[in-house]
Amino acid sequence: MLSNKSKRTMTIFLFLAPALLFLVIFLAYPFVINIIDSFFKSDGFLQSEYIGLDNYRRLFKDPTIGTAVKNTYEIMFYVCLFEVGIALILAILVDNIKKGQHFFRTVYFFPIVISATAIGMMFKLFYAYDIGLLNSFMTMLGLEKQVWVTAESAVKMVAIPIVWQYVGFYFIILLTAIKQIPRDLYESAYLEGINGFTKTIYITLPLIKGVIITCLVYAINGVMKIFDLVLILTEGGPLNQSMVLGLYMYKKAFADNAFGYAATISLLIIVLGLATITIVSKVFKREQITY
Amino acid sequence: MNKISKVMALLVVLTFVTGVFAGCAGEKEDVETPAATEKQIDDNTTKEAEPVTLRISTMFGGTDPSTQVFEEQLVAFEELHPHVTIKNESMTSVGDEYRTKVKTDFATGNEADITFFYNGADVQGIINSDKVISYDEINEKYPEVGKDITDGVKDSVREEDGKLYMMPLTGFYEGLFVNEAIFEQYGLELPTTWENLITAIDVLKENDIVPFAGPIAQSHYMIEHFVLSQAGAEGHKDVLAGDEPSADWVAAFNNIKDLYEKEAFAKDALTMDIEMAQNLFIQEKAAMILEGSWFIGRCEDELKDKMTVIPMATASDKMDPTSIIGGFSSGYYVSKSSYEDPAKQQAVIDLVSFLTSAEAIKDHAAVNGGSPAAKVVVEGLHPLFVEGHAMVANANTLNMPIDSRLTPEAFNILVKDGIPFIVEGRKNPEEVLKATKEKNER
Amino acid sequence: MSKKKKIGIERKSFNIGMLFTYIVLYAFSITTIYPLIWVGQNSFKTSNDLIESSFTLPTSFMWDNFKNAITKINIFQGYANSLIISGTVVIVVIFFSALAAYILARFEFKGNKIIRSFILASMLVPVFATILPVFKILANVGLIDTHVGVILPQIAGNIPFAVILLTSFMETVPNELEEAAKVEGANVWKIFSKIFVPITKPALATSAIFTFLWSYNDLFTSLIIIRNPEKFPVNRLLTEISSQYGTDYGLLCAVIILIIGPVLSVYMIGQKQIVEGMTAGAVKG
Repeated sequence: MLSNKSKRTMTIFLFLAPALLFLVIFLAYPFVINIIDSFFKSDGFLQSEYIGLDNYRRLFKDPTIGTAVKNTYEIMFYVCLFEVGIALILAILVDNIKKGQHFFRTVYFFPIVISATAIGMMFKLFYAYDIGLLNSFMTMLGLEKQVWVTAESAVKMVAIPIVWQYVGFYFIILLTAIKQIPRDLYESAYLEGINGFTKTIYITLPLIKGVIITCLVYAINGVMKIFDLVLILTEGGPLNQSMVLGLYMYKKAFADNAFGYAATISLLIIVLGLATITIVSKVFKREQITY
Repeated sequence: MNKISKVMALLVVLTFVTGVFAGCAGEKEDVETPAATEKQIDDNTTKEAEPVTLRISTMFGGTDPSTQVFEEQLVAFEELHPHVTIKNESMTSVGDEYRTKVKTDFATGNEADITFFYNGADVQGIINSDKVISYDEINEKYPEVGKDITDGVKDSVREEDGKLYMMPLTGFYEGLFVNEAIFEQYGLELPTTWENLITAIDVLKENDIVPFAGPIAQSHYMIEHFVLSQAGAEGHKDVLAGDEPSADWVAAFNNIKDLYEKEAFAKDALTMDIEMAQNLFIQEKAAMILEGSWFIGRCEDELKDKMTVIPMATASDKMDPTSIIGGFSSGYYVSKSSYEDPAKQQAVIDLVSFLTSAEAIKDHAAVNGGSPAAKVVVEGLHPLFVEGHAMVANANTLNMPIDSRLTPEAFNILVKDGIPFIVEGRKNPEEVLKATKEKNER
Repeated sequence: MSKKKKIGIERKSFNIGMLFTYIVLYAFSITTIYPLIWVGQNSFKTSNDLIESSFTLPTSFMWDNFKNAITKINIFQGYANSLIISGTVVIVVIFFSALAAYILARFEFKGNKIIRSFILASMLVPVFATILPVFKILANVGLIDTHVGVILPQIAGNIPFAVILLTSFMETVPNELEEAAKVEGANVWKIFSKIFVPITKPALATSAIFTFLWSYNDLFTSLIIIRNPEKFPVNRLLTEISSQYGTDYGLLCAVIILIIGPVLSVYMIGQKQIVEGMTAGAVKG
């Protein structure tokens, strides 16, 4: 018979092993290869040549990287504030209503099901000069047609569909979390006269704080990896003004065949992503909440 | 290379491989005799006729008629050679996935026996790592392979080492597609000279027609033709040769900028992609577009009747007025490992001969409108295709696109980090050309 | 937790606040419903009609786009393949992730933090940064052109998401439940399967839905790994058509409908179960 302690260690190991094994084989190991690649000029397939730190030097000199980092954080800001924010408001509101919960839960889910490619195309048609929805409205209102996506507006125009598509995603997660709060907690609060808005602030929010942070983590992670929607919508243009890191990496790898440099960018993505997530988690400091 | 992906872009999913291994093996004896009488080169095959499975990977996947042609060819081949089972791994070439798939396969030793792929920069790594065999070597033993393809075409696709690794089927050309009906309506002359072009732009603009469907963000064909029209065929070829950027190239880029400032392009030209530009032309909202031969297939017959295709307007006398861009940029490659496998060699040779025969090439040309690599007469084409072929035939010079001589990354600097910035006055052509050159040499 | 039956808190009958709530909720739902209608109405138009007027209802029902998409490919085989791939991925991901999340949420041990960071970092790895080495691994063990070859990397890609979500839910499970079970002498497996799995059922359902969705919509992996059209999942099949006809927006809309149709119906049918799961979880808790 094993001692309690080694039994516990055994359990921990057995429970964690399958998941970790998958991550090590299919994510960590390939990523180590990726790090090695970042020291090579490589087409990713057959030719590579050791170039030391050249890719890193290039990374710091590349003006597009600067734009992409700036845009990535700008979009991240919108996403954290609006995507998660709107989702939270909607989740709280839906939790409060009696009729139609099922309906809202269903319809808010719609955009997630449509692939990013399709959404990108749809918004492209919304923004299009000649035939777009927005300009149809403008004409209807007797106004001049506009060029909607310009160098100045590009990031915001790209951020709109991104934010909109994933509101439903966080809505579902947050609603799940709210629903998991034991109802008797609300009941006792109700007896103490806490209700409505105050109830949300003092009971709901603190209890789902962990899940909200998780949502922010997903949101940040999602923004770091965005590529297909922007690829379809603007291709990062005009003048690279809507370029984001995920798309830039994708293009370097698969359009330019510069896998070594792309590997370097993906390192940057991970470093920035981890740093941001750590900071956000620190700011919203995690405390263990028990009912 | 983008362009070819479009030429060849065909489609859909193969109904899959007809025979099953066992089935073929059982049948093999019955069919030996007919196969042998059909074709001489089959003599060696049929003697042993052990069942063989070949993998072929092409861009003929999807809903395009060319897919059907290709699939029929495979079926016909299997009937002729019952001991051979073909696994067709074709997929559409749109996007970068096909390219990625082929390169991944070669890099991991998982390559198909025969691969239909691009030449130039894309295949360089594969050739350098000795994964495909040259037809020069094949021809020493099997002189009949690819015999229908004309020598001129073969020479045009030889790699730097002077060897022939690819057997092309059809070629493409690019040119200025003009909606003649619109030009006639406003009494305009065809834009064969720069003056005509400018006059046309002014008149069309006044009448609320977009003169040029030119996507600034995806200006591949524009770069090509503006350089050709300014620098001529020779100047077009010497990509960034001198220490200083060529004055002709600088002037060419400034021409684009001039037209942009003249509002010769659509209002949203800066963000529009190639498809949207094509749509402008297809809906007859724009009167001119620079495109490739594959574009004809996108147009309805009614529009084709109104269209013509001509070389780009000459911007300087360096350009011969007949000069165009075109060539052969994809074809069949044979994997070295398959050729060297005694069990497969004969079958591979049979298949590649079959697929590059005059008959097979004709079938492809009939559906994709490209110029055939063999001397064949394709019947029943719309006059616009014929016009295009005539333009090619009359051309005194035929240049390969610029991107065939640049690394993909360097070319993308011109397209993405270059032209949009130049037309907006944020960069000058000289610095863009320097950056391109630097990237190309790294 | 008590065993009170009814959870509801008496709310005052209809008031201004409620009205406002409904207005906000319906307003947002329009933004999510309209695009679907848009895609639906345009799937009945030719590409040219669509470009001319994509925001009007179709004048007649033109089924050509759907016919085109369905007759050219074996769509039902595609649905079956999708189900095999995504179904397996969901089951494996949820099971392994729940195990791992339970440990990470409830056990203090050296390395807990490190493992969490590792999982977080692996979520940040873009799939196109790993595809080449992954392909080499799969080729070495002969899994190219098999369903398993797609399933394995997809499992790995979805585990981080599920583990993180489930961990944050399992952390909120009250301590006393676990303690009570321990006193009764339940072993770890019992506590996990009899207490944590039922309580976090809503969270398990939520992560299962999203895992399914991502696996179902993941084109990249199947594009690179699967060669035989008989084994294509449905979105891979349809992309073959739609990518070539990128400018045929009508066909594309029909393709989108064909892809999202099954997922939406499954979600709508599953909704009820999920809602019940949520309520059940709350009551039991």
